[in-house]
Formats: sequence, C-alpha cells, structure tokens
Amino acid sequence: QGAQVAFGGMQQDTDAPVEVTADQLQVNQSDGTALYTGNVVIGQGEMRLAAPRVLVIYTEGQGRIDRLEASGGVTLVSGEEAAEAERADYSIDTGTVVMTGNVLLTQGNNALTSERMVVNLEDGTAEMTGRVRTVLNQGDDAAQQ
Amino acid sequence: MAPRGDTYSRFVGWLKLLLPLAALALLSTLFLLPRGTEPTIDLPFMQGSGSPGREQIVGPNFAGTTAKGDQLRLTAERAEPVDGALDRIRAFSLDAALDMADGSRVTLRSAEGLVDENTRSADLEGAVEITSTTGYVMTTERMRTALDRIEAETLAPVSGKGPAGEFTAGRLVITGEESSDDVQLLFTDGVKLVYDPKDP
Repeated sequence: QGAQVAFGGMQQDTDAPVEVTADQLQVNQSDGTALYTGNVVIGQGEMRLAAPRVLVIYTEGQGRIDRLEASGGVTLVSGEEAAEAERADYSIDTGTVVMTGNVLLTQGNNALTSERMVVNLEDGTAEMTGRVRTVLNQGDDAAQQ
Repeated sequence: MAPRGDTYSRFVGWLKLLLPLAALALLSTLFLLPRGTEPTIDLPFMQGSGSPGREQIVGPNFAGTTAKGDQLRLTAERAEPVDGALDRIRAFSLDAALDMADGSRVTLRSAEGLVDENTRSADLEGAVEITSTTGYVMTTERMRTALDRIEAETLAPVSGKGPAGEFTAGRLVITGEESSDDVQLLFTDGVKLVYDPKDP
C-alpha cells in the first residue's frame, strides 16, 4: 500500500544548476566512472541531498548527467521536510529522487517510515510504498527518534 | 782600343753592375718593405650575443614505458641544461602524453618545465593544461609528473570542465600502480562541480 504525501511544499525548478561538493572525486580513467566520496552534498534550489558516496552516471552522449546514485546513508532535505534512507537515486532531468531502504520521512513532529519513497521535486510530492507506517505524536513533545 | 770605344764599354760595364742591383732592389720591395695593414689583426670578428657557452637542444623528446605497458612520451620545443649538467634540463613548451594500456590517454601541456633525470620526474610550470579522454580539460599552475611510471600530482588547485559541468578541486593526483589496474584521476582537498541541466 502506498501513501501520497506533500514534500518540500513548493515547486522546484529542476532546470536550476545542480551543485555537487565533496571531499574527493575519483575518476576511473578507462571507463570514466566518477565517484564522489566524503561529505558529498548535492544541491539544487532548496533541495539538499547529503551522502558519504555518490556515483555519477552520465547519459550515453557523455555531455549530460543521467542520475546521481547516493549510497551509504542518505539525507534529503527540502524546505522544512527531511527524509533519510540507505540509498537515493536522483535523476536530474525528470527531477525525481528514488529513496530505498529504511526510508524515514519527518514532517514537523510526524514521522513516516517505509521501504521505498519516490520524491517528485517538480510538484513537491512524495509517494511512499512498502510497509508504510506512520508515527503520530500527540501533544507537543518532540518526536522520539 | 780606340779611346772613343772606352766610354761605350765603360758605360756597358757600369750597366752590367747597376742593372742587376736595380733588379734586386725591385725584387726586395715584394717582401722586405712592410705592407700598410696586418690582415689578421682587423679580421671582422662577430661579438657573441649572450654567453657563447649556452648549448641548446632543439626538439628534445623522452619516451618511457611502465611495467604495465602504459607509455609516457615527453616532447618539448627546446631545452637547455641547467648550470651545465645534463641531468637537469629546463624545457620550453612541454607536451607530455600518457597513453594507458587500455587505450585511454592523458596529456599534460605547459609553457615551461624542469626535467630531472636523478629523481626521474618533471616539474611543469606556467599554465599547465591537463586533458583526459574521460572528458576532463583542466588547468593548474604547477604539476609534477614521474617519468618512469604513471604518477603525477598538481602542486596547486586545478579547475576546468568535466564531462558535464564546470569543475574545481584543491588538488589532482593521477595514479596507476597500487589502487587498481586502471589509472585513476583522484581529485582531493575539496571538490566542487556545477552542472547546468540547461546547457551541460
């Protein structure tokens, strides 16, 4: 069963420049794969995707980035929402982030967990699938982690 | 003999004496009298421009192959030995090409460089341009490359264009030996890429 939630709250221009900063980048000279390691932060507009490792997958024509595969514990922050997962694949052209593996989405003091979540940055929505559970916090105590 | 004949024969007698003497005098003017100028003194010598002892090697090139079959070829427009010894050479408009066994290639180009035979390395200075077949075109200020193995590192920040987007990094290390069999371009000390989906 899936749950449709708002994420990031506002539309984001997926044509805005994408900035990737990291401690280190390793490029394999023979096949050209590019692997960013060490505090990698991918930023576009309001969205920040942080992960220890990000692999860059280029499109065939080698002039465009097809997607960025972040792994090793990913945090996606957009507006006041934040989502965590083990992996996230961010494809820039379609503006979607597919997060898999123990996805935890916190909104204010509500938290949703699931196996998989597809965030659509363009219209600010997210769809969670796979054992979706909601943790509602009554009263104003902070969300227990 | 008739007195009239005397004067004629005396005249001839004197001639027989005077004429050879005159000939001798004439002949001696050929070499006895010094000529006005001494030819070897004022031969036009050219004043040497700069130190005449400065040798120059035009179009030097250096080639080496590593154990794994990666080839390195270093060529320059001209080079001159540093303080006379041939083991340290200052080369101008240097071009180094690293051809990997797997067919990919990295070229390093710089205005000037110091090739040192003892440490088997070359220091490239000036606008060093690094291009790689993986689509990276970058420049840096100074770079050092080994001559007998695939090992190069920039001694200054490096910036340029990647396969997609503009690119800056604190340092670039090109290594081939230990990490894996493929040659790696390792950008360290902080890396930043700006990729614009509209025009990559």
